[in-house]
Amino acid sequence: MEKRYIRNFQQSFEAIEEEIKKAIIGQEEIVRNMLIGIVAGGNVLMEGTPGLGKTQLVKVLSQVLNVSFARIQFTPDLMPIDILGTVIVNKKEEDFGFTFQKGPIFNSLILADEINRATPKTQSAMLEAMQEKTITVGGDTYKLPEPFFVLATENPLDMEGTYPLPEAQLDRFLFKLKISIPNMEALSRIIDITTGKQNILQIKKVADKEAILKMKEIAMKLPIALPIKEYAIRIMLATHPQQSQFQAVKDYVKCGVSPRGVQAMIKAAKVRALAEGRFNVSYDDIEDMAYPCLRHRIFMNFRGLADGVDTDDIIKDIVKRVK
Amino acid sequence: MQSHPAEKTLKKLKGKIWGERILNLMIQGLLVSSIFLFLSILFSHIYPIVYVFRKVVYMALFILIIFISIGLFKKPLLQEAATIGDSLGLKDRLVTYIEYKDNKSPVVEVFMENLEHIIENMDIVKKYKVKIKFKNLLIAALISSLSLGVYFLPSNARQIAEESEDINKMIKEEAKKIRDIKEKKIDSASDDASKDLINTLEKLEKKLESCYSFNEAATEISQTQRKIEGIDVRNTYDMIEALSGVFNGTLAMENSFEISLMNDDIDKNLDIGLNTNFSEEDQQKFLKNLKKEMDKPHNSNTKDILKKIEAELANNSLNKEKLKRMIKYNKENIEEDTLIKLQEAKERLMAQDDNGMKNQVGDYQFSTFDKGKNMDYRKGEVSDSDENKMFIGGRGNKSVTSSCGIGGGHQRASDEGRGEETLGELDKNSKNERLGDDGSSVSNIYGQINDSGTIIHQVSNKVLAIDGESSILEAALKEFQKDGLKYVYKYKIPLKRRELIMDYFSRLNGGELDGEEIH
Repeated sequence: MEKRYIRNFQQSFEAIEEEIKKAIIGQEEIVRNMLIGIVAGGNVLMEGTPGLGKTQLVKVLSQVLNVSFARIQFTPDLMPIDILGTVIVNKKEEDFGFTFQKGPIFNSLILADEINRATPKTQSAMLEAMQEKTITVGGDTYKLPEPFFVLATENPLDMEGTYPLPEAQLDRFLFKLKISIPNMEALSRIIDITTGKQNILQIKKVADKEAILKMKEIAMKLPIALPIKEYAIRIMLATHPQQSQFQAVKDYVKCGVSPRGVQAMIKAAKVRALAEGRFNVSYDDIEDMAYPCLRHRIFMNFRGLADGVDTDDIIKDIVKRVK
Repeated sequence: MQSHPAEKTLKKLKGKIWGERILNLMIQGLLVSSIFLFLSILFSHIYPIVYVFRKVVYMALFILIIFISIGLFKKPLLQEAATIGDSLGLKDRLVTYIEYKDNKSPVVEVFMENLEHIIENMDIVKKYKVKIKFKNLLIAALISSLSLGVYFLPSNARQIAEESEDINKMIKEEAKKIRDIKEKKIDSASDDASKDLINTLEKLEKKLESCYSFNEAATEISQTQRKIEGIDVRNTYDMIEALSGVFNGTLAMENSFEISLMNDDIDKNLDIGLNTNFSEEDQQKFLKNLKKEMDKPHNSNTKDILKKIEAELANNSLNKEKLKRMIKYNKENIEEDTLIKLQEAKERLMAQDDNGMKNQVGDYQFSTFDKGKNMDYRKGEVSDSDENKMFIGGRGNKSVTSSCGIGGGHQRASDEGRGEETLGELDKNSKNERLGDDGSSVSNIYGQINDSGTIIHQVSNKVLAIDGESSILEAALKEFQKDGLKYVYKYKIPLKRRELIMDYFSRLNGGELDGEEIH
């Protein structure tokens, strides 16, 4: 691996980020975390009301990275073959043959919109593909493209007739991001762009899939000191009510973070460190990445749900006191 | 291979942290010491503690040394220095450096280059500010000052302690004299007995230095005197045994010789015990017996005498006179002078004791001037006409310092007299006539006496005193003699010494024994 790629990581990352920010306004943190998620090789679950630019985000991302993009709108009648693809009968001259018609999942960037609306069967087909990065149809296995990134969304408003993702499925997402309404200034700019006063800037291709894969490789090799690793582990252990010394965890948490949560934190922390121009993971990286990595992996008990306790508050308490 | 700048930085930082730690521990030690100082001094006003200030200062220094030692041992680890360095803005780079310094992967190499660049632009060692706990130092100073103030407050306990200290100082003066005696002995120590003596004197010296009452000190001296006498007795018995062995079974030996030897008056009893001249045959027998005695485990003193006897026997030239001289010489080695000096020391200490001596009407009076009682001292002459009356100037014809060793009703007898076959303890008492005008409260007069007996060119020191009774020497002397004899008769006097003691006191009493003539 050439050292120049390593030294230029931050530059490359910021270039992609800046290009995306031209089209996505007022969501700097979301953009950054999304990019971290992609480089870390994970998938992102996003929670937010409609019209906040989730589709636009993925679209712009695909343009900047020059990778293929697909949007899947999940509905209750969506079937697995609608996502994965199916075998169709093909007539060739006198013979009939079967051809596998690839589904929308065979794209680098997927927007799985309102994933909680689809049936569990369809959800699991999608999630399995996310996990395995391969599809098996009719006895044949098909590899998904690299990089492969799914941005799944959940609509927090329309919960009736929906199928919330089970805990085991939620665990497959690297991050859960909460997208919020932009501020006044950002909204003003959005309106200017979308209603014609200001022309949207042309989005340039800044990187490609090789660059993303290279960045991923560099991030995996980044050094992390033992005390910092142990800090991440202590955070994870503190989320389990049986082992935790935190009263809030004992009172409100049903089930704590799995080891996948620690893996996610460390992978994300490495990318974050490189994005900030450092070549080592620090405590701050772990702290910062704890929220998106753990908020969907801590499951509240009835009391927690009834009292409306937010997992972010629990994570905040743990992160400060464990250090 | 050149070390990474981070290594040097960490070492310097470690040193700085260590120094800070030692400094802060020293301040903490000072604080703890000052609190200890304050509490101890406060306590010393409730319970008397001698040399409290010195002891507490030593203890405080000891505490301080402990804290400093802890600081010296608590050397910071590299990891600790790295953590502290990282907190100054290095974002955990130093901690990562320690773990990955031997890793040669491209990412780590880039990390190292980046770290080097940052360290060159950021002086972490300088940035680290040593935090001194000045507040603790100030508190320590305040408490110490308060302690000093409290120390000088008057209280009963402090007064008692000061008095004990004064007594101890005086006892230490005596201990110095004991040390001088010991050092003289060291120069001439050649045998086991002398080494025993030196050890005994050394122990006494140490014990005296830790005595805070005259009575206790006097008791220690008495015990030492017993030990020295024991050494003396052991030496004597050993010699008796050896000599008995040499002369045993020969014609030269009288039956009573051995018994006479046991009476511890060898040289006198040689006249009784042995024939005047020793025949050649006798001398050969002596030599044969002597050789047997030399093989036995006698002390070096005895062996010396045996060697001398052997030398004489070898020349067939041993006679009674030579034998007497050899034994007498050996006896002179016995520590008579040491015992006398110890006795004097003991008497000095007992004279210093608070209770002092009884006067004519039976009250205690102090024996020293500075206690404010009516005592004076003079050297005078005893008149020819009356042995017991003292005069100044040229009337008398033999000078004497009235220092009859009589127990003047002094209650503090030494412990040695109780239940043991030794002489009872007698106090010295100097009781003199008063000089100066009648009714004057001046005492401690030094001056020249003219023919008529008046003091001229007198130097008088006024001291706090009250007029005491004027005692006539004879009356006081009689009283002391009477009481002294009662005191003496309390104790068992060994038979062998009875005659001597009777004789002694009869001379003191002018031929009377407790008012009755001695028969």
